[in-house]
Amino acid sequence: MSEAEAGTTKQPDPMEKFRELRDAYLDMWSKNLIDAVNTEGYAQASGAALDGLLTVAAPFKEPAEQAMLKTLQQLNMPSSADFANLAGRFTNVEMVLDNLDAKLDRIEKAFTDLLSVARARAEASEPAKSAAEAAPVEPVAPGSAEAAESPEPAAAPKSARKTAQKKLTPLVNRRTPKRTANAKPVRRNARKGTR
Amino acid sequence: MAQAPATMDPTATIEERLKTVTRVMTSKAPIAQTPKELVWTLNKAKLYRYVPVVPEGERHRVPLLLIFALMNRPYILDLRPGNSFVEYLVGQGYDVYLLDWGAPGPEDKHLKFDDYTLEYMPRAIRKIKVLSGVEEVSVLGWCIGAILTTIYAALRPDDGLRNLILLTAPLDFSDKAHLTFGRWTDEKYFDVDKVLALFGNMPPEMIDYGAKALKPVENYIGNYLKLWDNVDNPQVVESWHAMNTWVRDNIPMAGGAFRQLIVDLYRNDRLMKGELMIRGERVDLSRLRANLLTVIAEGDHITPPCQSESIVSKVGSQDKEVYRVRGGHIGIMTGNGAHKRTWPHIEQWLAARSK
Repeated sequence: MSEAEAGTTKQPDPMEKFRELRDAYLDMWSKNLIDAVNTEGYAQASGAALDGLLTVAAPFKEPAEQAMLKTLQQLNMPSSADFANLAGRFTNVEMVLDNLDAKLDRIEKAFTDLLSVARARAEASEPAKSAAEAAPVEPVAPGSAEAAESPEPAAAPKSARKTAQKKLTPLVNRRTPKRTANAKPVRRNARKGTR
Repeated sequence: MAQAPATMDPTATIEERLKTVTRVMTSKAPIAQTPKELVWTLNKAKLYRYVPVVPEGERHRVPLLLIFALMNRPYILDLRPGNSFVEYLVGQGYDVYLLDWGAPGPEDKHLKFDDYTLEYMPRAIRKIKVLSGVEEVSVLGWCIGAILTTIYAALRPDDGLRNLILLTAPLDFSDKAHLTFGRWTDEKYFDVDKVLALFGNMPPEMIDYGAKALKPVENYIGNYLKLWDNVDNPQVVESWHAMNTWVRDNIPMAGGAFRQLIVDLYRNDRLMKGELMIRGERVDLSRLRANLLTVIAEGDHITPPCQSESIVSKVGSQDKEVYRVRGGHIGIMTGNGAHKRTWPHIEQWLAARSK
């Protein structure tokens, strides 16, 4: 027999028939028992068994707890109720900390938003400033040597200003109230309540 | 080099198998391996951010928050390398967050859906918005996590929730005939107040028993036979080990929330009827406007499909889709077909809505 044949030929398993019979028997039992546990009779029987267990166990619970409590009190040791109270307090502290964490996250987010607004403002004002510095004080005659040296001073800052303005407008509009041209600035006294 | 004997000693084989079985049943598998960082905590809840592997410019814009049930660990979403939904999403370029509710202690027995939906979730989502720098978020809720996300989405529709994905969401409790849990927790047989008076929170052992008793043969016998039959296959063994680690790692459910689940939902179906009150606010599903994908597992015995279907007709979302997939409650996200069917569908749906 070649190696390949030896590999593919299945060895006869003497237990195979036994396993088949066993599985068939278990299948039958399984179906019967699934049906059995799904009856009112089983529910009633299991309920009665549980009730019996509880009826036997319940009377011992309170005296045992009382005895344990007295012993712990005499030994000046905390009881399980004390631990439960402590755990409740810890959970409350955790919740307060979580609330603080949430507030801090909100503050951090607001701060990040403000920073990005400030950065956008700085970016918008910087090209304008540099443009103003770079702009010629006196008009230069076209065709002169100076005019040839300056590479379009006004064009770049203007476009940069427009882009920055576009970026800034929605952010600024959200935060600053609109001010009309004739309105006087309101001076707020920090000591007096504004509300 | 020593050659392996032609025929193994049957005693040695059985001994070897028993060693493997003992190892996987008594140890914890390495799970939840996708790198993550803790970014927020409140009480027992922790918000994790998974470390992105895709460059920022190529990532999806809207972050995704994963919310699992209250009574199980959420690392089922990041079970093990190669079989992790979280790893898959991170690889696809999502900014993924996971809200782990943690295990409630006796001091948390009063916690209700009100606290989870109006204290924990809004705070976690705010943190995600700050960290990601995006004002929108997608949320995926699974099982009871889907109940919480639905309530939140209906109560806070203007909180930036853009996409809502519900996996096997138990929202409609009107079809009593198909709800085995509903039958067991009927007020005739189950005194929820008596249980909570004794235990405070709903004990994990009782929740685990309830889930397993729905399919007793599969969970108590078939599961172990599957391991025994495949004990020579390392891939199956490691997968079984990881799943068993998760199944055994149950946590209690806060008493207040469990009471609401039983009384308000299982018994009175208040969410679908529009009568559920959360901190004095009525949960009106028509206010839910986020894009909605609800994934239904056709073979789900914990949340039968009838519980997840009707949400689509109740919400106010314009963009909504129901995706049905073969599989069980957990299997649709961790089974063999998950990475071929469920994950890609969720990813594609989300990708189109995360720009």
